[in-house]
Amino acid sequence: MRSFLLLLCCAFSSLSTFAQSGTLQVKGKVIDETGTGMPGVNISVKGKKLFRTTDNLGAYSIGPVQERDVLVFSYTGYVSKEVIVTGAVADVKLAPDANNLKEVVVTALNINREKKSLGYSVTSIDGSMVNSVQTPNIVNALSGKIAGVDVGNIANGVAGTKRIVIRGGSSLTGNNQPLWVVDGTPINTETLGGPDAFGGVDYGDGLTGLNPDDIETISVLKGNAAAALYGSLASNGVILVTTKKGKSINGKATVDFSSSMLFDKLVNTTDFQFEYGQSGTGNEPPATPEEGFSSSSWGAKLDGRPSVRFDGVTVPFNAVKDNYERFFNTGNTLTNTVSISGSNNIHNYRISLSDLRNEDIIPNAKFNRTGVNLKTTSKFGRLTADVSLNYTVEKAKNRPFIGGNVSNLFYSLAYMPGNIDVESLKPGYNADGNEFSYANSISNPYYAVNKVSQSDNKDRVTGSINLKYDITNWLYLRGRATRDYYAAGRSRYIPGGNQFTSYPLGQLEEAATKSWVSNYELILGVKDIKIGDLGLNFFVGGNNLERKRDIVNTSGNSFVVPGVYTFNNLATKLPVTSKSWQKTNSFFGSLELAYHNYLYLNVTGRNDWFSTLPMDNNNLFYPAASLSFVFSDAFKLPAAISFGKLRASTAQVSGDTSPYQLDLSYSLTQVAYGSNNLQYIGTTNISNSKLQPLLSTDYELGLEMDFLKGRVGFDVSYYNKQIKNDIVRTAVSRSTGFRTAILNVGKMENQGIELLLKGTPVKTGKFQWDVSSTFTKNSNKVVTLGPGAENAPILMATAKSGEVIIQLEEGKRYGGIYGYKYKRNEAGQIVYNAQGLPQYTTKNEFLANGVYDKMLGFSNTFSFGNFGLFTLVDAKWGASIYSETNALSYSNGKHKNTLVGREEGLIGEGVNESGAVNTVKLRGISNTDFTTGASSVQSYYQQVSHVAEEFIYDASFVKLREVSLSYRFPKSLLSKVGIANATFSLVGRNLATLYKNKDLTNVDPESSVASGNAQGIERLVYPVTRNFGFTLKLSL
Amino acid sequence: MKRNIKNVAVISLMALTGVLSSCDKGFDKVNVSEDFVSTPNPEYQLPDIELKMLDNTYYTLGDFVAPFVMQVTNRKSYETLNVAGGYHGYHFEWIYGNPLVNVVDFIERTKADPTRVNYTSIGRIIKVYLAHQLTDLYGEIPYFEGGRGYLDRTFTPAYDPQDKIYADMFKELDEAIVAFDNAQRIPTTADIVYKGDITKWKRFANSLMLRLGLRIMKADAVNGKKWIEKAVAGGLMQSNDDNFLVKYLPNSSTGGTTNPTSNGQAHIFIRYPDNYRLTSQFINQLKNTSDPRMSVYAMLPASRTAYGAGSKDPAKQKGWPAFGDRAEEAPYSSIPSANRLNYSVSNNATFGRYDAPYIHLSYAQVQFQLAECTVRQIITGSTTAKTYYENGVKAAMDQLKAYGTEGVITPAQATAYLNANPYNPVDNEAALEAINMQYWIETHYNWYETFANMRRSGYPKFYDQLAPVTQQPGNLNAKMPRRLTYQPDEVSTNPKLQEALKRQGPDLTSTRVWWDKP
Repeated sequence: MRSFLLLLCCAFSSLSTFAQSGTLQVKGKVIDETGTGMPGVNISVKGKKLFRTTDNLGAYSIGPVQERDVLVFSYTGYVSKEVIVTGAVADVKLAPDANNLKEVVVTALNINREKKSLGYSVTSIDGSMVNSVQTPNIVNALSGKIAGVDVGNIANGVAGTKRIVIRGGSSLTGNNQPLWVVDGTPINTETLGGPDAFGGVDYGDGLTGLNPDDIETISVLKGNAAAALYGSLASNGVILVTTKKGKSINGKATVDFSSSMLFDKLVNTTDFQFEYGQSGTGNEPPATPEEGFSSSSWGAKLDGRPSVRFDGVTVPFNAVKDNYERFFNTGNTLTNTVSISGSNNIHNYRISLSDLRNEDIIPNAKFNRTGVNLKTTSKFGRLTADVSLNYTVEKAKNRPFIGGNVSNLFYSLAYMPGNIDVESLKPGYNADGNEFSYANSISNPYYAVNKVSQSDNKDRVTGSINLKYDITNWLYLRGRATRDYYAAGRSRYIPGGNQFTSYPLGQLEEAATKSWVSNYELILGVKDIKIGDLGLNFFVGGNNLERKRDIVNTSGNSFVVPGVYTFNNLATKLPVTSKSWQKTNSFFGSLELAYHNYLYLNVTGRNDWFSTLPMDNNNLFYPAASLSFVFSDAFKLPAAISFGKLRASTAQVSGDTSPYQLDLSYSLTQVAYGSNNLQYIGTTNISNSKLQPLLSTDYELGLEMDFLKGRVGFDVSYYNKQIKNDIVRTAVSRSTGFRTAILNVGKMENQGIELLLKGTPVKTGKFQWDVSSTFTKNSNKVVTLGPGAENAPILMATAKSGEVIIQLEEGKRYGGIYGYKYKRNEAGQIVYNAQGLPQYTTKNEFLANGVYDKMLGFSNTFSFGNFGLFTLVDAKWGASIYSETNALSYSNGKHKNTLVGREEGLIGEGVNESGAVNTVKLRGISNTDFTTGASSVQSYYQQVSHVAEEFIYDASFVKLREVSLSYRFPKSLLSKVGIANATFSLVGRNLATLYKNKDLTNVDPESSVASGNAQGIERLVYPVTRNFGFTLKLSL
Repeated sequence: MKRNIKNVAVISLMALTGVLSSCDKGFDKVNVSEDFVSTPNPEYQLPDIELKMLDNTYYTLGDFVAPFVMQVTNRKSYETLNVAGGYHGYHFEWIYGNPLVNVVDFIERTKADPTRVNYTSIGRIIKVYLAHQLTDLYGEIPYFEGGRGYLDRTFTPAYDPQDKIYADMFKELDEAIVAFDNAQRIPTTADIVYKGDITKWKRFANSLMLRLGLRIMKADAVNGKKWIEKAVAGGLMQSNDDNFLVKYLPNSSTGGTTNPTSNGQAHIFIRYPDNYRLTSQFINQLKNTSDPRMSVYAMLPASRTAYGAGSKDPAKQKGWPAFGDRAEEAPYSSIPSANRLNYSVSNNATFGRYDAPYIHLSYAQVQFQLAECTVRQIITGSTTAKTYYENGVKAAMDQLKAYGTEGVITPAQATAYLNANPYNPVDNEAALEAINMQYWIETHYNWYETFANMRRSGYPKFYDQLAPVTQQPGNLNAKMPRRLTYQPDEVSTNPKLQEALKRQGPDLTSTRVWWDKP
């Protein structure tokens, strides 16, 4: 920390020593090869500490200087020019530097490489692609924009954990999230706790801390070759974020200001029935408060008769259709960023301050983020020092509880019979503070937002210091230290007087988490050596990665003094600590050969040692090689082809697992039994002392071409990725005494195609239309599961109802949804029992896949003078979803389909157990012609609710994901008020669902409850919102 | 420049060898958890196992087993309770995941140390107790390979036929009893039940053997008789002092798995004062015989929202009919809620406490079983069935003192009860009915045992009095549930379940376990 400060001091003190005295003021204009004025050109005076930059028209003024002084004009990508001062005017024309025209991208270990030399796929997008519409999690803004990248809009709230998967899942059950690297610092993106179908609060991941306004570019390294130098953490690809560098205009520091306001509006996807309400006695509306206390919608017709509500008030028995609209608010997100930056030949700095304030659509729920980001680069002779520092404070209040049942306000709303006015449940508690509700085992949604308290905060510092010393002009030494540290705290309590949790006297959970991720890296490199036609770059290095986490969890239940919600006030206190520590040491090297600037070969190798694996089997060496052939430079091609490159690569990456998986461990209970300590097996996972590192191997072929001077182009990749010896945690039979086991198992394969098409159909003077389209197809297969699984499928998740599981099966796609199907005869007809109820199978059968395999992003950018319009359509296919909301609404009678036969009874279409046509007519509300012994229509639908097959829906969709209309204010206007640039945009997100399966009622196709691998289960999640607002960006 | 390259190469090579040799230095220390220990202490393991023999959650017991034996109703219909899945399997989960896996580990570790032979024997007896309860409830279970996920890396344990399980349980009890050795270490502190009293452990093991022997009489009379005789000869429990009784501590409201020091069974009444009621079958039985246990077992609820002391006047107690909400569409609340306060719940000073003790096997049960054996002439001896019966009733009343001052029943009260309800059966049928009715009452809260004994003996015959019920799909016209259904995850995690279903029959409550012959 001290060294950071020291460096900062150096950086700022140097910047403040600009002006000096002399005799001559030189003025002039710097133009480029086309004659256009060049803003931002650095001008220095040899031997003097005097610097200027050109203004936005290319004009400059520097002085005082003396005749014969040498002015140096430099600009990235242009050949620097030295001009001897001969008078008061010096106009300069800079020529582009052929060598520097190279498009440079940041690759692994933050080494800049010329893009055309890369033998693997790297996709970069500009920061403006992610900061025009600002939501708390940056991942939202990547959806549909990068081929091969699957962004899951997990339905867990605005600041919840998001899911991003590159080229399909590479691990069967482990982490499939890519490594995020910000300015060279690998950051900790792991979730702080997310729900599964059984319910919970999603505490978000490490990505809410990124401020989109600080981002210059995002590069996605998709394959293993691209990531091999990051080692095991990169086995799922790497997302490299480069933050903005400092810039000066007119020799002055620049000030940028960005402000964005986004409104969130609930999209009510529910379409429940509003013809029948709560059950009373017989076919009457509830006549007592007891009858009005029910979550069943199997009652009487909603026809305005008087009915008694749960609270004893008599109201007409009418439908209340806008409960969702009245319960939720309009949410909003206000983001402001101000940054100051400057640069000269020696120093470059940028500091930004940002603030995000989100008000959720859920009453009383908020998320705030405040951040400071600092980045400096300084040159001291042969030493270059880069320092970056990011400090963010995040605070969330009342993140929603999703999944599960009790405590989930969405559950409460979904169950609410059509005759109940949600506002009759206000404020959620009685005068004595105790919760009341409309039915047994269902929380009052207002109690959930008014009395249940949930708050969390995170203070996070990420920083890196990178020192590079050029020993000679071809030999360098680079050392780097990075650290990502956060301290997160959270507190959640449910007061005493709640109705339906396990602890009527209340419960509290507090957790304090501290997390450290540190990297220390040293590289010795050789650069730009020419041996004949061969260019050579080479480096070797070592890295030490350490991850540590301490959690103190203080929970308990039953508040002694009512109204005091502290740990000390609990009757039962259950503190638990959890400490985790792991290290990975690595040694690596890279050799890059360039032949004639059109043929490039890159070979890398890395050896990792993992602390988490058995000592005798804890390391693995893995190589990578990639080849890039720029055939448009090698051969003379027709003029129409402006660029062409073929690339091929193959690589391996290994990986480990979380710590302490090798041996059985024993815990002591929190409470002793008198003087007896109590000790028991402290893990529900069967540990494994024979674990090996996993190995992922891939190869990739790609072709990139531009035509007609870049008017049309494409980039296509084919990849194949296999993972072997994956470290899998699978559910095992409870009769083992455990719940899960960890083992090396199986082989999985992903192969796919990624396609980027871009073009500029129209380009006239003022009008330009750009089209860009990304398409991804990933096919995925579990090749073998290996001997360890003993024919038992690998179980990844279970729905709350238990009706559906997500599991892996040999020969099938990753992440299958399995559950009960209807029992059918050979002709496929449903079999009914003597009571007229459909029968179902007794074994879980394959139903569908929960992971999308095809994705399409289609964007159009129109610019007309100062106006710009951007639209993005995002589409995904090939996944299904099991909707527990719909299954529940069959059971409780809220689903519209349950209206069929409700009054007049029905006969299920199919056969009876002896094979004849089923003729059993069920009992409806009013029919008298039912078969003797027949069940009721209600029982029929309740039976159907157990048949998972019925609630599997195609989750394909096409959404209008993003629209922004921007206006750039004319400079002539702005210069009068001293503003350099100003842009105003109207933005919108998730504006429309252009297509979805029409059978999928009540829920959105993107409604997965979990952000992990268990995709394809929906249960009473956070609803979809439509977002619209505006953004203003100003530069001074 | 060439020389430079050479130098660099040499330096790198030196650096490389230096780095490689120490690349995993200290990793063995890094990968040791600071939160846990890797070597257990048998002195700490044993009390934990003894406490966890009781399923601390109420799910299976309160929601299924207690209603099945018609002592408690959760006001759910017979049909609802007989549908497979859900919490039927929770007890399976608890036993395997808590006491069983730990006792298997405990046996394995103490076995390696000859001085701990008494610990091993205790472990083996406890394991038999846990396994018999499981197999009685579910039928075939993974017995030989169960609980060995870590030890043998058996992830899909095979299901074993119940006759093989029973044969091994008898063998285990027999061997464990023989292996006890007073000269070796005695777990005087760790054994929170008998304080290391080997004699009492032997009596408990023999009494368990008697229970198991009687259980299989219909399926295998030869072996049943053999083991009953062996148990009697080996020495059974002789008084309430020999009861296998686990004491629990107060001050915990966790119904979950985190705190084994409290008795989670009473959770059903404490947590849900409005949902569970004692049945009319149970209350009427006590009422009709002026049983002094009425006030020990029952009280009226004080309120619908809080479980507090209500009237314990025996005359005021009233039971809710078992499966009371039987009409298919009747809402939960078909009986006006205020009236619920007129129906009895567990006495909050005796059974309705987190620190209520739990009796796994009692002297009274032994006496009732001896009475039955005598009636059925499985054993012969000078003691009459009547004596055994009366000893049993007296002991059953006396043992309630363990539940606190409100549990105390004087010998005079017991005698008065026996005088008012004398054991004078007209025939063997009536004798067995009387004996097993007492067993039914005595095993209050030990409903796993009540359920097994009801199925075995056919008494009490409350199911005969139920109106014919609409059968739900899958429940093959069973008048009474004959078992619980398996833990639902077994379908997906253990393919070997299918073999058990093939042998035993479908996974329904109507399927009978091996010893349960019609």
